[in-house]
Amino acid sequence: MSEHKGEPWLDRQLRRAVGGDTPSFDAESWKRRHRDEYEALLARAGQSGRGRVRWVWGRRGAGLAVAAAVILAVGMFLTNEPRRTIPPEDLVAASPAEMMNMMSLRLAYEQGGFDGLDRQLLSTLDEFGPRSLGVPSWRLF
Amino acid sequence: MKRANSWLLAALSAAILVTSWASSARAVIPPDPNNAALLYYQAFITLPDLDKGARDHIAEVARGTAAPSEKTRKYLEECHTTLSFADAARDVQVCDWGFRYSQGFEGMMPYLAQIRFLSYVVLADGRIRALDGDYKGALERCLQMRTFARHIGDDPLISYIVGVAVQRLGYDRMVEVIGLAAKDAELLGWLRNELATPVNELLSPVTPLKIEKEIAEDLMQVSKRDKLLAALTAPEHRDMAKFYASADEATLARAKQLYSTYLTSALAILGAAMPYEQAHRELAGLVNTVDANDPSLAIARFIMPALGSILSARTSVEADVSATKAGVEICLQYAQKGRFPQVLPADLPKDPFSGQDFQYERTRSGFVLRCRGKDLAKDKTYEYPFAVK
Repeated sequence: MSEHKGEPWLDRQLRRAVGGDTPSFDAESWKRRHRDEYEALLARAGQSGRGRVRWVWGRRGAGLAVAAAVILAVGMFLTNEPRRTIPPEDLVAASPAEMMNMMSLRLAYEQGGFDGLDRQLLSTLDEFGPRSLGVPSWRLF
Repeated sequence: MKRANSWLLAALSAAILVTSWASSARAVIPPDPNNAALLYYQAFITLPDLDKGARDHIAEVARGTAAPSEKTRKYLEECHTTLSFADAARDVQVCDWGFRYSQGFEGMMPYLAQIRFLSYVVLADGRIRALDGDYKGALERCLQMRTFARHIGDDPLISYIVGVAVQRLGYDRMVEVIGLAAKDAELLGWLRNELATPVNELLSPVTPLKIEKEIAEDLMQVSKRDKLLAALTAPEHRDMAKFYASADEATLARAKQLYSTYLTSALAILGAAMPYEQAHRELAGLVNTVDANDPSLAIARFIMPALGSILSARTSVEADVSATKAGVEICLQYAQKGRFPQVLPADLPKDPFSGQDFQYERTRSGFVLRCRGKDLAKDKTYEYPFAVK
């Protein structure tokens, strides 16, 4: 790594990338920060003749390599990090409304007994009530 | 004479006019609702906006897993109007929730969750009354669960199941209060009369199973496949939903035939007066006559309700009733003689799981009644501890 971009810098990049709910690589921001490296990449991509990309190892090349390593590390982190814990059965869970239909309630009882039925009934209350008007009728007018 | 007759006629006419006006004025004011569901819906609307923690606390107090406290009292004070509507519904015979049978298994039943929670509110209120020494008030709250069960009804099947759950919780709390009131012979005599009064003795799983059979048979055809699939939305039913979606007409027709045969036989077993163990055995044997690899059987069994569980639900609430009545009789002896009997008195209600007397055991705090037969569907034996204060 270059002397300007050490471990703390890498940590910051990784935290910024993976800390949110939907981590994503901010390409525009990277291009702005590494304008020279980006233009060098574009220039090399446009070269013809020899048909081979030659990496230039020097100050600019080292910076480019570091940036590429960061991107690679972030990419690996993103693909390997476990998703936020969402139980598989909840990924496409029945909605509270669906949980109140006759078949759903009956199956809840058959699978979980009275406790299972109670859990399902009470969980629908989280969505649908109890609800109170909160205002006495004489105040409505 | 003529003048007197005129005065009489005028007075009579005036009396008729006044009477007509008065009776027509009374006829303008409608009577109170004669459908308990309308009162319960108002109870649901007037429930305070309790957070989940408060709702869970009330449920735990009603279930007996948390002791009633000042926190409970505070929540229940907010539910005062709700309880008044529930009390008003007590004396109303008819309860029509407005369930749409035309929707079949997709039919929504939002009132079941609400009435279930309302039962917790009522029972939690009963526990507060017991805490305050108002044992009669506490027992009235427990007895109210029998009315709830009658109002929840027994069609469709899930209503019957919720009614059983509500009743069982009522009897659980009642057993506790009976122990607290074991020295009050007058109160126990009152309770014995209340328990002898029929309130919901007509509730049975037979009618709801007939309704469910009709709904299921109508849905088990290719043209209505999507309607039944619409009710199978939970992730754990996805495999069966796919299997059902891909079944051909012949498979569905055979599944319907199997389902009809099983349910008709089940209705005969449940409607007959036979011992619990025999009924359980015969219900379990219904599905053993067909090749287990038959895909139609998989569909039929999935749609068919768990018959063993339904028999268990019916028998368990019968056990609760019998044990409670037996407990009252034993406590009456205690109230009259100052001590519990050495052996179980004769002619008490029996354990419906075995058909025999309950096992009676004196304990340090009172006594316990224990079923001699097991709930074979749940592999469980029920016991009823009566702890005297």
